[in-house]
Amino acid sequence: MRNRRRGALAALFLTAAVGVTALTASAGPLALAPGESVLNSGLTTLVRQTTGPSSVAIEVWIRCPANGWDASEPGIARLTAFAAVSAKTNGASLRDLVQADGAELSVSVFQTATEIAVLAPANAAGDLQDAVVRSVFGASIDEPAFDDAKSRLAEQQALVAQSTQEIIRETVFASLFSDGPMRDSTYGDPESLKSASLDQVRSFYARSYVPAGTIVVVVGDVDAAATTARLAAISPSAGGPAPMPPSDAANVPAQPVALAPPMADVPGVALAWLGPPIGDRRAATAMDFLSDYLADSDAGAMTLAATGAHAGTSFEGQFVTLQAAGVFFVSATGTGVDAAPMETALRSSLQPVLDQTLSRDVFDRAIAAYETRLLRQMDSPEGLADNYGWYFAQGDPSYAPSATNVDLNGPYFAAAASLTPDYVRQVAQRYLGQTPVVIVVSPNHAPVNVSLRGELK
Amino acid sequence: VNGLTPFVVAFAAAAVVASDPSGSDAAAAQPSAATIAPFPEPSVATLPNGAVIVSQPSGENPIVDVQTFYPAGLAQQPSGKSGVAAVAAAVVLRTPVERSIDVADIATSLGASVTYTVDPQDTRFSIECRASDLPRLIGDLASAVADPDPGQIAVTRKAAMSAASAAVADPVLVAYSMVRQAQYQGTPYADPDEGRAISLSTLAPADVTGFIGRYRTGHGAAVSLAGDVTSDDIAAAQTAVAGFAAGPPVSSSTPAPSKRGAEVVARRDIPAPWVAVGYSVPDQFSPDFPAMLVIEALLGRGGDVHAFDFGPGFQPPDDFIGGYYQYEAEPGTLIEFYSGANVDQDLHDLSDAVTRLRTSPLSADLLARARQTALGEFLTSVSTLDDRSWLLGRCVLSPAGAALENQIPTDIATVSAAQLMRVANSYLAVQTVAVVLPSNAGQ
Repeated sequence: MRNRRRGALAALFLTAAVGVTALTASAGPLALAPGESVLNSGLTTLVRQTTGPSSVAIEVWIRCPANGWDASEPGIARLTAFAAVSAKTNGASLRDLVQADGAELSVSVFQTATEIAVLAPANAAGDLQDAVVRSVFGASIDEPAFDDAKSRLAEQQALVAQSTQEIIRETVFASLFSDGPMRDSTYGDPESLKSASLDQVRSFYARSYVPAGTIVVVVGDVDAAATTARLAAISPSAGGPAPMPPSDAANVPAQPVALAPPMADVPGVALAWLGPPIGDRRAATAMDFLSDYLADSDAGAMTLAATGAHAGTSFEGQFVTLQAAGVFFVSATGTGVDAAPMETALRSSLQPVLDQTLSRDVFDRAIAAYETRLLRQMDSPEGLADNYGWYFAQGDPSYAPSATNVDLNGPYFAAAASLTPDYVRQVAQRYLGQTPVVIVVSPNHAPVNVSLRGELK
Repeated sequence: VNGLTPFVVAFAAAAVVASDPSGSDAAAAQPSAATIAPFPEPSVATLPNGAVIVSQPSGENPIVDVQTFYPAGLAQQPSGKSGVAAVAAAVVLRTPVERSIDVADIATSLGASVTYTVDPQDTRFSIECRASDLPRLIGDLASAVADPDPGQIAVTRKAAMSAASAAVADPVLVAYSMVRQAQYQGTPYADPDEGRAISLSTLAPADVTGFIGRYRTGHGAAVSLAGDVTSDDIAAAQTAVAGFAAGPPVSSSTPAPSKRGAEVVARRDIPAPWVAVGYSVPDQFSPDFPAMLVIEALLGRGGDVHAFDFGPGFQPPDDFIGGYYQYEAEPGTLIEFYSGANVDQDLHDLSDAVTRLRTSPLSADLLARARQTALGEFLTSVSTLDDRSWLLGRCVLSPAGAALENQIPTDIATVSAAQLMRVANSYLAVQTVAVVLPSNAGQ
C-alpha cells in the first residue's frame, strides 16, 4: 500500500525512482505493443482496460533531451514540465484539477524523456485525460507558471544536493557519458536555473511537446473505445520531433571518482558499468535478470554483501534499459560506510557470476523469482502504464514487459524464456567483466563553531 | 504559508466566500452512481467457525495478493504487554516451516513477499506471489501460526526495542504517540505499535505464544484474495483457517471518545517545532465515516490510513505534513500535522476551518467539490492488488459485509451539508494538541 505522503522530499524520490535513457535519431517506425496505435497527428496511444478498482493511470511520455536540444540548457525539461502542469486554462491548472478531483499528479524527468502522470478516479478520468493532454499540447505558459516552476525546481535542487544517493546517480551518468543528454543532471544547477527565461521554456515546450514524439497511455477502469475516440478527437495537429542528440560513451575516468560534497547526508560508494542497448533484446533481458539476481532488495547477492559488510547500509542497484548503451550500477550508502571495504565486498559478491555458470537448478529458480518480482511491479494501473511509457521512450514499445497477459505472452517474456545459464554468464562477462566506474562520496560538512553558538544563546 | 499546508488555507478562504447559510446543498452536482464505478461483486464464504474467505479475481497478470486478518491486534494486547503484537507477528515470520527455512525466506526465494502489519484490531499478514505458489505459502504461514518458534523471540524483541528507541527520537512519531496516548488512555492502543522498552523487556515466551494463540479464532478472522485467484488458492485459504476455534472474537477495550482536550509538550533535537492536533472521530464502519472523509478532504490529506503502519523494516514518515486519518482504530483518530516557521498561522487556519465547519453549512458548490475530492482520494487509494485485498478484507469484517466496499463511495457522493455540520460538531469539538519543540527553544 502506498504511503501518500505530501511533501517535496517524497515527490522527489518518486521522481528519481526509475532511471534515465539515451535516444538517438529514430531509425524508422516503431514496432508497437499490442493495443498501441499511431493517430493521424503522429501521437502514439495505448488504452488498456483492466478489471478491478476504480482508478485510471493517465501518463504522457514526451521524448526530449533534459538539457535542451543543443545541450546548453541543463534542467530545461524539468522546468518546462513544471510550468506546463502549472499553467492555467480557464483559471485552472492541471495541478488544480488533479487536486480537486482527489487524483495524484507526478512529473518525472529523465535524460531523454519527460513523464507527466495522473492517477485518476474513474469517474473523473475523462476530464483529467483531457486536462493532461491540454497541458502537454495546449498550455499557455505565462509568468506565474514559470515562477512556480522555478520555485519547485529550486526546492528539488536543494534536496538533491543533500542526497548522497541522488549525487551518486548523477555522477554515474556524468562519468559514463562524455556528452549529450545522458551526461548532464536533469535538475540543472542554481546558475542555470537563475539564468533560465520564460522564452526559453516556451521555446523548448513548442519544440518538444509534439505528438510525433509522444505517447499517451491510459490504463485502468475505462471504456477503451470511448477513451480512444476521445484521444483521437482532441489530438492536435501533426508535428515532427527533432532527432535526439546522441550521448557518447566516455573514456573510463581516473579511479575512483572521488566527491566531497558539502551538504551530502551520508558517505557512499558506487560501481557502474555500461550494458547492452535495448536493440539487443536478449542481452538486455539477461542484464535485467542479472540485476535482479545481484541487486534485488531482499535477495540480491550484492545486496546481501553490502548489508553484511556494514549494518545499516542502504543498497540500491538496477539495470537501466536504454536505447543506446544501458547502465548497470549499484550503490551502498549510509552512516559509517567505509568506501574501500565496501567496494571490496561488492566486487567479491559479483565475482561468482563471472567465474562460473549458475547450476541449472539455481538458474531455474532464480529466473522464476525474477519474473515474479517483475510481474509484481505491474500489479496496478500505474505499474502497467509506466512500463509502456518507458519502453516507448527507449524506442522499442513492443518489448515492454507490460505487453503480456496471464500466459506471459509477448516479446519480453519470450526473451526471458530464451535465457540459459551459459548465455547469462557470457553477458555478465561481456559487460560486468569490464572495469567499472567507481564513485566514492565523502561528505565534507563544514565544522560548527560550538563555542560561538554558546555565546549566542 | 509554508507551501505544505495550502489545503486548510484554501478551505478556510473558500468557506468564507462560499458559506451559504441556507444550506442549499440539494442543488449540488452529485457524481452519478453509474460513474462511481463500484467494485465488482466478490465471492464470499463463511466457514462454520465464523472465519470468512472473500475473493475478487482479476486477470491482468498471474499474480495474487492475499491478506490474512487474525483477530488479535494492538487493542487486544494484555495490560502491560505493549509490543507483544509486534513481537508475535515477527516471530511468526521467522518460524522455520520447511526444514530450517522460515516463511519469509521461502517467499523471497520465489520472488514473492510475505509481510505483516500490526493493526489496531488485528494482525495482518500479506502475501503477494504467483497464484501457483500461494497454496504453499499460505500453508507455510498457517504452520507458523499453529506452531510458532519461541526461539525467535529474543531477536524479534531486540528489533522491536530498536524501533522503540528510534521512535522516541523522531519528532513525527513523538507527536503522533502523544496524541494517541491522550486519546486512548487506559487502553492497549494508547502505546506505540512497537511497544515501550519497559514492557518489551518483560515479555516472556508464554506472552508471545499466547498472543499468537489468540489469532486462531474464527470470528474476526478473514482471508481476502485479489488478482489471479484460482480454486486451489481459495481451497488453501479455507484450510488455513478452518481449524480455528468457533468462540467469540477476542475482546478489546474501546474507550468512549474523550470529552476533554489535552495539550502535551516534548522537546527533541530538531530544527523546527512539530505540532499535531488530534480529534477522536468515527471509525471505518461508522455511518459517519463517509462524512468524515469529506471533512478530511476539506482539511487536507497528508497520507492514507497506512502511513504509520508498523511492520518489517518500518521507517517513520519523516516529512509527514497534513492530515492522517486512522480509521481502523475504534474510535478512529484524525491528526493534522504541522511543522516549520508558520506553525502558528497553520493552527489559526485549522481553528478557523473547524469553526466554520461546525457553525455554517457549506455552499452547494464547495460541498460538491469536497465530495469529489473525497471520492477521488478514496478511489485512487485502492490501486494496487495489495490495496484491493486489504479493503476487501476490511469490508467483509464490517457489520455491513463486503457491500461496504461500494457503499462508502456511494455515501461520500451523497453527503449533505447538514450531515457535515452534525459530524463536525460531534467529533471536532474537542482536540488534543501535541507540541514537539526544539531542545533549545524558549517556552
